[in-house]
Amino acid sequence: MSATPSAAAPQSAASSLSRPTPGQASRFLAQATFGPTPADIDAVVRDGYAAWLDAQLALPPSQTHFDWLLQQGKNTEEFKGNGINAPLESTLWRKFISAPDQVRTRVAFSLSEIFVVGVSSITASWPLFGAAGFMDLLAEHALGDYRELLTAVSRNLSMGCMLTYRGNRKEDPKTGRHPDENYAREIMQLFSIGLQELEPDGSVRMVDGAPVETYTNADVQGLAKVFTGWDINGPETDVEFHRRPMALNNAQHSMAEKRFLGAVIPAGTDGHLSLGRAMAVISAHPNVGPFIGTQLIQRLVTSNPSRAYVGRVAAAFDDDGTGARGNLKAVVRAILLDPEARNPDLDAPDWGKVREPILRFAAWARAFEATSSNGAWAMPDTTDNTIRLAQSPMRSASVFNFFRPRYVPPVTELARRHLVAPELQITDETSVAGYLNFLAIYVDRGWEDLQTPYTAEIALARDPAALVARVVLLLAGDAFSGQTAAAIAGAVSTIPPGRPRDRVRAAITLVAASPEYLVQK
Amino acid sequence: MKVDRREFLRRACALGASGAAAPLALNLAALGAAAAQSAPGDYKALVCVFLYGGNDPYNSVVPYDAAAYRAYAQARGDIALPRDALQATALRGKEAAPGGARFALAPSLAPLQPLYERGDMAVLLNIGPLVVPTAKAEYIGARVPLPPKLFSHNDQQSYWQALAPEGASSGWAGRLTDLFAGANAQRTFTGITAGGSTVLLAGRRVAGYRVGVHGSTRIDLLTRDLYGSSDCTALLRHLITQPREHLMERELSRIAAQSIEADTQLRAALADVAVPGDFASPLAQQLKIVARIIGARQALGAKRQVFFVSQNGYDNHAGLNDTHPALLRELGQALAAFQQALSAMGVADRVTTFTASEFGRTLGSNGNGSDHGWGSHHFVLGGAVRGGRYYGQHPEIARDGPGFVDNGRLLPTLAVDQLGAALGGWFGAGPDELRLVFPNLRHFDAAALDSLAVSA
Repeated sequence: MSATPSAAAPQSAASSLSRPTPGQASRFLAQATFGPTPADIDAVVRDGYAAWLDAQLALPPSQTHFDWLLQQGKNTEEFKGNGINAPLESTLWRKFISAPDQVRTRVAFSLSEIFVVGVSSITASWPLFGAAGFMDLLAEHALGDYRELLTAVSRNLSMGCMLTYRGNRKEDPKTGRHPDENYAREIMQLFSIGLQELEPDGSVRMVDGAPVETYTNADVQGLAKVFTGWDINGPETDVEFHRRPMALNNAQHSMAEKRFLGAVIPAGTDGHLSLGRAMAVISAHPNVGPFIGTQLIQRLVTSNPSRAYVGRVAAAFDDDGTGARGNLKAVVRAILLDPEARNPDLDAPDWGKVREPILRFAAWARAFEATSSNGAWAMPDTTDNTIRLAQSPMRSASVFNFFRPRYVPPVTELARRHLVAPELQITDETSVAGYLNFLAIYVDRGWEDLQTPYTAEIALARDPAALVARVVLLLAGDAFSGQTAAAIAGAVSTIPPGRPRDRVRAAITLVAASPEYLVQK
Repeated sequence: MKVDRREFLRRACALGASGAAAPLALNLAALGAAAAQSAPGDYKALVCVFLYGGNDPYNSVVPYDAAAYRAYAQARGDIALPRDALQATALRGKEAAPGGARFALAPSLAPLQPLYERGDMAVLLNIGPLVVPTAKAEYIGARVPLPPKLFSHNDQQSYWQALAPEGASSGWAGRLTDLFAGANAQRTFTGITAGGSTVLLAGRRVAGYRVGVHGSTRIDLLTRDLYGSSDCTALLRHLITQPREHLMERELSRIAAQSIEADTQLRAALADVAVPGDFASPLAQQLKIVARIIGARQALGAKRQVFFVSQNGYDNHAGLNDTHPALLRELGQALAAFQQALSAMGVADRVTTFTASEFGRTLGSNGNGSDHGWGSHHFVLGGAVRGGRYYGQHPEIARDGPGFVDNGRLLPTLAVDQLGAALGGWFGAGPDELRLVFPNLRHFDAAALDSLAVSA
């Protein structure tokens, strides 16, 4: 957490948020969506932040990944085994780049970096449908109730595979077999409360000068019994089993007493009741608001939010204004409309976050209205770190995501100031080159069927200053120095005016390569 | 070549000020002695092979004498390896384990058996994170300080690498190489990772340098004129490397500048370095680039280096006996190929390799796997290793016995600090220096592993 003093009390939303400039609107859209488009910038300027956001939050989920894969006929033998998951990339990027419900889609992606499932871990047929269905589940609940989200995640087969509690059996006193502890541990460490007790503002609660750990091995062992007896629901004859919550086999569910986090589920309680009780206990823990709230702020807005900002978001989690707890729509609204997000000091050396590579690519596509020329969306696995992004959606190597929310880059001024920079965990001498090598390809010629004509930009190419101003507005909003923009315009002007498309490509490459852009403000 | 004394003094002050080190009776005379003692004469490298996920110790180094195997088989049930499969990899070393205990390597680790029998590999029994020597009653009663966030993947990974949980700003190997800052022509090539981000290599001034399995990665755009414009290419180079006020931008620029400069140097240094051998697997490919960089040590002006490689997939809560043998096969083959290459290069006694992993696992089965534990067994390899021996002790195998806590999790009896101190001593650091690099070493028998690695 930033050590800087608390931000001032929230200003009146109406006065400070009413009339964004195009640059401010662009910066808002970088936080709220997969990147600004010319049309969205116009809409935010016209309607204001809150009205635009509320309209987004009211949108129902757009066509699911699962249904799109079905529509594309990917539910065949060809895609049954693991390893041929390419259509998953297609649909994930399709929605990142083109879904109308952008806020929901972006929040779902953010949640996929908290509730992490990697497609290669899905030990059931058609793993691509499992991963697609999991992202759909996150989108369905992204603006809903946290406890329902946690319950749906806990019943999901892909998560059951990822954290190995699919088929988990009750204890056997004769052989000494104990239930698999994997999910019980990680649901607490990663999906809900974390390892240490937190204050409502996200700071670590200190008792007698020391942090207080939230659970022990005994809690893990007690909660592990809840996640016994759950497994695939129905035969693997068609892909629909991936959409059904896991089924309970009560014969394999532990009927022993289950103690965890101070709660006791009495002996003899069946699986459904035990799960419901566990979800209630975990969701009611006071850590959830600051723990999940901080991570959503980090994924959308800034790596080091002030304690006051976290406190306001956690308060929205605890009570959405109607007395309801865990309303994620209220949390997202609180994050994006907070005065700290809307009116930060853009010159502060610690504000913002490194744009994660997935967002850089999506933002390029959206800014320049790239779309699939044939509906196939043939995107690659972008995990390679020498000529791709060093990150690919739903391909994290472990449940700990591509990077950790508390990552401190060693030997830096950031570390000296006790600041975190999660995305720098995948930023190194190899991946910085890899990003630029990929950028050079897609800015130049798109990717397969993903193409942009750069029409509006080419129209400005005779005036390099105007061209660069547009590129800067679309990619970086109002957080890019005039000096750098002028230098880029000067360099671009050395490309003959008779090659307008090359001027456009050079301008985009130079803006998208610069650290000023790479840190989202 | 000698230890950078100013560096050492800075470290001494920094650690003293933070209270991490006890009042050490440091004086200049002692420092001089330490520096003289640690003045390195020739090249040395440490290689950390990190097994991400928490390797299962009992199915890697398996109790083999009849009584211990019976206890093992009973405790593990369906995940126990059958004894008759262990006959070929039963270890016949230079010394028996304490109490006459015998162990076998997992059958899939067979490529390591000749190394052990030749004396080029040692087995560390029951090592893990500890703050002070800890008995079971002290753990249960929380009567002694314990490593924070035990059993948590990311935090125990960090503890093995930095002796502190996630968020640590320096690693023990980085602090160790700080002592030899003057030894290398370039700090960039002091700590090198082919295995992903790691805090292990971070010292006071530089963190680890990242390479891919083929070495460095070139920024293609800088090798040609951007759309025919040399001005655009020049501006691109300036934009991505210029120092910035914003702290994250500053890091991005620093990394890009280092990427460009190091690529030029490493590409040239590696051009003629070939390493023969079978390095097909992902882990082996990482070790191959390590061997190639070691081969280029003179061109790089390197005298002291630490390398980091890693292998994923050891969190075998389920399917242990489906997944684990293949992981160990990759590990054993890669390590054996690496040692063979080092021997062919004539540097086997100049490179010491060790395995590490965030934790061991539960002795008991959860049905078809094992859960997060604490202490574990590890390997140390190289020509300087006094191998063919076990170091440390294995407790009686009983889930609720004195050697285990929380229902079957090994309570370590060797600390990571002790291993680090043994490797650091071989590297050339003196006793006082080691106590600065490993602040908790003073609580342990610092000489416990003194004989583990000896200079040629």
